Amino acid sequence: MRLAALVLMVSLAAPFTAAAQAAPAPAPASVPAPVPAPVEEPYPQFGVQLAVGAPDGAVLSFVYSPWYWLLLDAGFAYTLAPGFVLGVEFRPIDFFVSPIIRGEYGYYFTGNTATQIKKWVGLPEASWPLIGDASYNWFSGLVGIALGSRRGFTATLEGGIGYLSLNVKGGSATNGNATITTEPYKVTAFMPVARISFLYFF
Amino acid sequence: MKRHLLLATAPLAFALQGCGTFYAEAEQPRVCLAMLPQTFTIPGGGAVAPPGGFTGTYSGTIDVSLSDAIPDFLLTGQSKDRILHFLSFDASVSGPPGANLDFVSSLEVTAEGAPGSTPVVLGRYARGSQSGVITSISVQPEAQNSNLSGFVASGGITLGMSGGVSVAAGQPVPSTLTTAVTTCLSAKVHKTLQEIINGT
Repeated sequence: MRLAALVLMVSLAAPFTAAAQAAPAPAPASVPAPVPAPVEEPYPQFGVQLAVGAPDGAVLSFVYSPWYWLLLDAGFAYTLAPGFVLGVEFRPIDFFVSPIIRGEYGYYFTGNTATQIKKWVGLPEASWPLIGDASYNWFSGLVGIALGSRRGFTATLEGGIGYLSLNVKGGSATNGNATITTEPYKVTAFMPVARISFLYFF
Repeated sequence: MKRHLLLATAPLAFALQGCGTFYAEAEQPRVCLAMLPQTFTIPGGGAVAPPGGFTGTYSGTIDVSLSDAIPDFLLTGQSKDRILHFLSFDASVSGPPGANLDFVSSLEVTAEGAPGSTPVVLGRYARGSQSGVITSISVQPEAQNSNLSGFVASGGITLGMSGGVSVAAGQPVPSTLTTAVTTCLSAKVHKTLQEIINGT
């Protein structure tokens, strides 16, 4: 009878003993709680850029960057006439100094371009009517360096090559004993290009 | 990093040595010059054609002072980089209503530059069997590949017009041939950046 009572007591106590053994030991009060891994702040995606260059002139652009290494920009430009410039830019390294590869397209509407051409080429004033309104566009490829933070302000210096096409309307002028009439014509140039820009991401 | 430096400096080096590579090119597909009416004397004209008809000749020149209308820097440099091609030549009647060019039997148009230069035949016209009023004559272009820019660079082009007239018996023979002349040309100029910088 005493043995039966002992067996009953052991069997009743067993689950509690197992549970007590399975429970984790409480952490010592001296070990600090684990710190969550720092969450990296995303790169800003929008910025504004001011650039000056040739043949760009002065350009104020809005910049969108879907990834830190890719920048797309579209801007209002002015040289001899108002226009616009579109650009795509690669910045493969996120560092204070970063190389740049850039492609650009620009278009300028008619403005004072024709007037300046007449002066630059030294055309006799009597023949000025032969040069009508002129607009131009170009493609360019540039490489350069950027200095600054991809998360804030950067300054860039770029150079490269471009292909410019100047489209001039014709005109008519009297010269001596002849009336000269010109059809629309085109001036193209394969030329060096350069630009300096300042970009701020917000 | 070296690769990036190379990438950045290559265009600069290219630009520095590439002044001969960079260029500007202007192309004018068609420029037309309408000259004031020109009058050429027909020796033996001014009378009624004798029995058997009248045949005679005429000739004259027209100065085309294009150099006044073209910037000087376009006329410098190598001649292969400035091209001026002849496209067309039209002579139209100029005179009172009813004036007619039907008595012109032939026309040859030449171009030459400074005195002593070799003339280039630009085109010819020969009256066919058509009858009736002829108000305009167009020459059949020749030597369209001849580069006339050298003539302009050396002071201007002189167009020479010469040909024959024939009038049927009993018809009045004009003493002069008066015509308004229009000629069209195409032009192309190529300049390297180095030439533009040097002004040559």
